[in-house]
Amino acid sequence: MSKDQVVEIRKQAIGQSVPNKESATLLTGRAEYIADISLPGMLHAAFVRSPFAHAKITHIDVSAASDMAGVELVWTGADVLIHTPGITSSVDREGFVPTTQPAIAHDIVRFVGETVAVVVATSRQIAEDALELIDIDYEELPVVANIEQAHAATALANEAVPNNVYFRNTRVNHEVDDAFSNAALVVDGVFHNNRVSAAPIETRGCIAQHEWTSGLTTFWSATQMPGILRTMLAMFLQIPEQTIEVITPQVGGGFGQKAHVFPEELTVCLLAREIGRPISWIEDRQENLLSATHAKHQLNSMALAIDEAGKFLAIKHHSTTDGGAYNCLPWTVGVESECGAPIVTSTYKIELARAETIEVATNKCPIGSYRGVGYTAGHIARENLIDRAARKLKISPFEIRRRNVLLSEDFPYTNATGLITREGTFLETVNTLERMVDYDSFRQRQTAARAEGKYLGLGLSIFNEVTGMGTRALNFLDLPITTHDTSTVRVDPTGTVTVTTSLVSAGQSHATTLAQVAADALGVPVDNVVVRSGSTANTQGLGTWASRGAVIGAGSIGRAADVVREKIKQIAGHMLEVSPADIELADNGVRVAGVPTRSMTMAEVAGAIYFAEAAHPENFDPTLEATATFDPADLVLANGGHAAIAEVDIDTGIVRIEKFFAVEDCGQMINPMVVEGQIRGGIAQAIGSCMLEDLVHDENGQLTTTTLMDYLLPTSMDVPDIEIEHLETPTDLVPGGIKGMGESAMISAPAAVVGAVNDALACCNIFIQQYPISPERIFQELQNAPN
Amino acid sequence: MKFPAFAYARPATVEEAVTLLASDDEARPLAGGQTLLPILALRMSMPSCLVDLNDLEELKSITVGDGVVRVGAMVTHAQNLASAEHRTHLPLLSAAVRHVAHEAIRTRGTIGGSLAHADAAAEMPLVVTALEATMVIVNQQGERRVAASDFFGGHFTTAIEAGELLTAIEFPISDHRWAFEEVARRPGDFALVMAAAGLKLNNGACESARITLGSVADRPLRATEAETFLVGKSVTAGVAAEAAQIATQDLKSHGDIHASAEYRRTVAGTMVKRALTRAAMEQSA
Repeated sequence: MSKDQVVEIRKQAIGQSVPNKESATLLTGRAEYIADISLPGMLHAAFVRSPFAHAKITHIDVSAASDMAGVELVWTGADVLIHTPGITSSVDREGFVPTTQPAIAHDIVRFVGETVAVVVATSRQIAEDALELIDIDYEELPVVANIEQAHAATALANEAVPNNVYFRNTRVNHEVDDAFSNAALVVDGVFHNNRVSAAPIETRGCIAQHEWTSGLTTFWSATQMPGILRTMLAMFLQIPEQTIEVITPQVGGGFGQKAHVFPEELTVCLLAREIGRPISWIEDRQENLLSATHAKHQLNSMALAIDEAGKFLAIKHHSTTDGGAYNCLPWTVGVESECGAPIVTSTYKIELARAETIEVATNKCPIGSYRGVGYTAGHIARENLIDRAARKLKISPFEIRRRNVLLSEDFPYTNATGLITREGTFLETVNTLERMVDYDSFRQRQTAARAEGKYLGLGLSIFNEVTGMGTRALNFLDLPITTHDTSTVRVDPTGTVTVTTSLVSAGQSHATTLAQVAADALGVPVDNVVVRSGSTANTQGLGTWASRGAVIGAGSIGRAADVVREKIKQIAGHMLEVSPADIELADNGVRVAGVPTRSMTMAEVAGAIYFAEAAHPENFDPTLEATATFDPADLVLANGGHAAIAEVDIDTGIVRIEKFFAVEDCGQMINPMVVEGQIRGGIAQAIGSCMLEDLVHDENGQLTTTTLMDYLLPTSMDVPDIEIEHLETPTDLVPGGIKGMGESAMISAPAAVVGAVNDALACCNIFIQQYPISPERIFQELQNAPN
Repeated sequence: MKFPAFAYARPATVEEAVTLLASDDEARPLAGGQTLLPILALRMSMPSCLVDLNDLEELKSITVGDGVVRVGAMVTHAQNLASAEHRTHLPLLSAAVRHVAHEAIRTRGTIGGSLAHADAAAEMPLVVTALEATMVIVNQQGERRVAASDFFGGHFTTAIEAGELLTAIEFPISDHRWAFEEVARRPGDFALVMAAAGLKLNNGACESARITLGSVADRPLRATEAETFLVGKSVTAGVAAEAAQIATQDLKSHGDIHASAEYRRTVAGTMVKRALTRAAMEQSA
């Protein structure tokens, strides 16, 4: 059977809001996170981090720190360089410039926060005391602080990157100029998307332990990709892969930030092998904001050509990523602009497109992945331009989208960048949002409020989302990567079910949702299934990112369960004296199709397989477990939309998001409660990232927002009521018709937030293109407004 | 983000606390710890000894008498928020303390700690300035009293000398009607700008006005010129706007990553205007 095989799953638990199996553990504080793990003899690591954005290390003296009581070892870049050159990251595309980020900087530091030395001590306190005794002299080098300076290239951010350009690309290059010159209307803008952090509440952390007698290394990491981490530790540190086990404990939020391999992880692993004692590194918040990858930072120019009927004719898009000093691993600096270009036309029928991208090097923390990778910035640009066009054409934002979305008669539709849309509820999404918002009465309310000096606005955004990221999807995004993810399904001797999967959970409720899938695949109750994950000792895979858990989980569990199911049918047919084809699995057992009285419980069947050879057919292989991978045959596209209502106080620039509306079509939902949790969390991040959060660097490349006093995350007070409706258009690419949806709100909701503010301020001739929309930004826009 | 090493003392009386503080210039009093402990974790301060005031029960009460509300320095923001006395006698304090951070911080943070820290963007310094409170400071020689207007010396600077402890704040009960306005990036954040307005009206005309601005300078500012301007006038929207203009015209504010000096100056005017308008509408207490 091929890896994209779609097995049949009979829907019973799927679709139900089964209460989270994880809740009790999480809510009582009994979940074990990386910082909760304490091993006998464990030591603690702390890093010296560069205070300069670009400098030569001219002198480093660790002797005073080494002599301190409680300090076991101090290493600099030179010490670690003996073991590894660091993290080399590239992508197999012509002209792409790879980089190697040292595990600890040696010779030159290239961003504020890059590691310069590490202290291992009996406590983190002592390690931090010792950091202050390390004497380092730097000679400052010219800093490339922003995109403009990168283009000027009077200095190089990283001498490995010629002209400060990692990569440039033209993803699609239709002849669009005629369409633009003949268009009835052209709307365009230059959008400055802020640098943000995924800022999970649990920061990064890892523990390494090496047992010299067995040669085995155990590596605990709060990671979204234990499988990749294991392989990379093996490759970069020249450790035989079979001797490494990566364990992922409970993860307190990943959001893409923990879908990387980090230099600190290499260093901690080497230190444990050097010292022979377990070593823990738990990142603090300042380190996290300085160095745990930044996200989204880009400059996008976009233009949309529109005819007099409001139909979109062509789109032009140019995106520049402010990439930082190194490529992150595995995504590289292309993670934003390169992934954004292929999906720039979104759900709209835009026949002509030009999409160009460039990634430049700056002396900042590397750009990495964060929920909604590639989508967020482009959506803000396009959806806000569409709103602006609607205002100019004096049609409603819903109507202009209705006139341009793909309709069911268009399917399958191949768009300008080659994306094939097989199904989707784009028109239904627009209509549903219009009803939820109650558009006509909103406009009346807006007018009435204006008369009282209040500025209300409505923002709208619709989207499609490439989910269940497999080989086909990654290749579409120009990432020539083959995916491989396995799950194992075993029916236990008493008839219960144990699932082991390579997908780790950072709060996505896999223990519940994947149990629902396995339960339906085998016809057993959800409570009879346990889902185990978090160790590379069992299954192999790329991890949980890019909205792939549901799709890859359902596919691989479905395929593995199918093998077990056939085995069960075989023995049950033999025992009930019918053909295996006549056996059905249901109600926690088996029965003869059409003759429900002829049945056995799952416990009886499993017992017979494990313990009663006499019941076996001839030549029966009693293995009651199977491991399978899944890689969907094509891109699995979910879709939906968001609307936000905001009130702007134009005298203070304070924006209150009054209400949020979300429509989600992720095919057959496994668990609506979990889906809605994803939507609500994503909307909170959307509000944060375009209204509050900003990693601000000064002209020297110095990060000025290094605590949560200055890097403003949204709190419950900033997030309004959220109304959610579901559409369900199953896909035939995945068992059960399931699609992914984890990133949806961070794909599209930011555009709705920005759109709401722009709608509120449209009467003041304001169209905000720089984010976040702080009170100061609104104040400045009002000062500079034409009128 | 771990504390540097320090000694720790937990005195049972104010006298003991003052003796400890007087014996060591580098010792620092620990009240609610909501500012001091993060500063220690960031290693921006390295005190030799923390003198923990949390056993000093005598500093934890609110008492009313002789036209004065006396608030112990160790009274928490949560206590102030819950206080029925404050709602009756110090409505400005009740209104402003809602803007102090979040419930967890209000539960530990104290009024004395906030005043001794003297962050110009914090609410309590503005409140004591607006209400013309008296700060009670104890040292080994005894007690001295400092008017709020003389207490703040600039950013993080107060009249408290080495070896001294702020023990109480005495608020004269005001016969003005009060309103408080604040703009912050998120609810509970330090103010970008804030203002308190107090009005005493007689037959609709202003008999006395008090306007105090916060987070626009290195300490709370009284807008005395605007206060004088209002006397004898009916506080209409137009008059409030004019007073706001007077209150902010010479303001030399500061800018930071959250708001520019120009924003602060302009929005301070909005805060004054709104506070005056609301104070004029408030029903007399």
